[in-house]
Amino acid sequence: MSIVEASADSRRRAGVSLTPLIDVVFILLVFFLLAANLQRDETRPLAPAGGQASGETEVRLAYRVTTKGFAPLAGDAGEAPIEASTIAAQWQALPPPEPDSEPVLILQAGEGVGVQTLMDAIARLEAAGVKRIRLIERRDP
Amino acid sequence: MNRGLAARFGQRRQTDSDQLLPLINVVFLVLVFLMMSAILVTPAPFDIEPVQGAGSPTGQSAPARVAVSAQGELAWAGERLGEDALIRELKRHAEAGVLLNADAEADANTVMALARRLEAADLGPVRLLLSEPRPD
Repeated sequence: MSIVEASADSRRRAGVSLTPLIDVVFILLVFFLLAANLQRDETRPLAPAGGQASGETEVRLAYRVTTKGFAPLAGDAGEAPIEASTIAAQWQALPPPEPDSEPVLILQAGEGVGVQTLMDAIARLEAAGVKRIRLIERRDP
Repeated sequence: MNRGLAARFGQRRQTDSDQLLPLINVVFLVLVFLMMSAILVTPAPFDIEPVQGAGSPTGQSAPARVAVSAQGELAWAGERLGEDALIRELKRHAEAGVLLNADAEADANTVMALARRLEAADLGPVRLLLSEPRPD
């Protein structure tokens, strides 16, 4: 081996050491593995009534979600709670809507109702067949 | 000359670094994948018990995540904010919609009022984050 070849060989081998690079890359990898959120988020729109297409929506039924079940929006708080299946039966019994109107069921969250209770109530209604649900907020006097 | 080329390309003994190259390749690929596909979420400054339920998956957009505690406190990017300050901050950063990460026990009416205020401030669409129901 000539002197020129030997010096070229040693220069190549004595290049930048890879070990610190690997260290840093591994640390980055561990950071991303711990901090990353890879799951696809499930979400649900929180559009209050009138948020969009307010011109054509037609309110057909209106209920309040209470901690015990559903109550008519206009009724007293003391009435017996209504089941989701009863509301769904009412919804299905309504006459067909006008061609350019969107029938909706309005839900309002009663006093002391948490987000989980409201979402469970919506899920029960949707499972019973009511698909067009709009939320409205309660305005306390 | 021939002997030199052979030494350089063909019969060179593999060094330790050369043996590590495939590993580094794979680790870099995993790193790039994670960087591209992951969402980095700053944890809220309070505990949140997520709302359970089924919804529809959000698309590719990255909405601003606003945390709402059971007591109705708001936080964005790990910082507690009042409602007015939150709207100011979100407007300045012009994010694509808002995702509310509300506590299951948070008052539904308060959360809905917040959603309406955010949509009225042109920060919509406002959606609620749901987590898969836990098997009990």
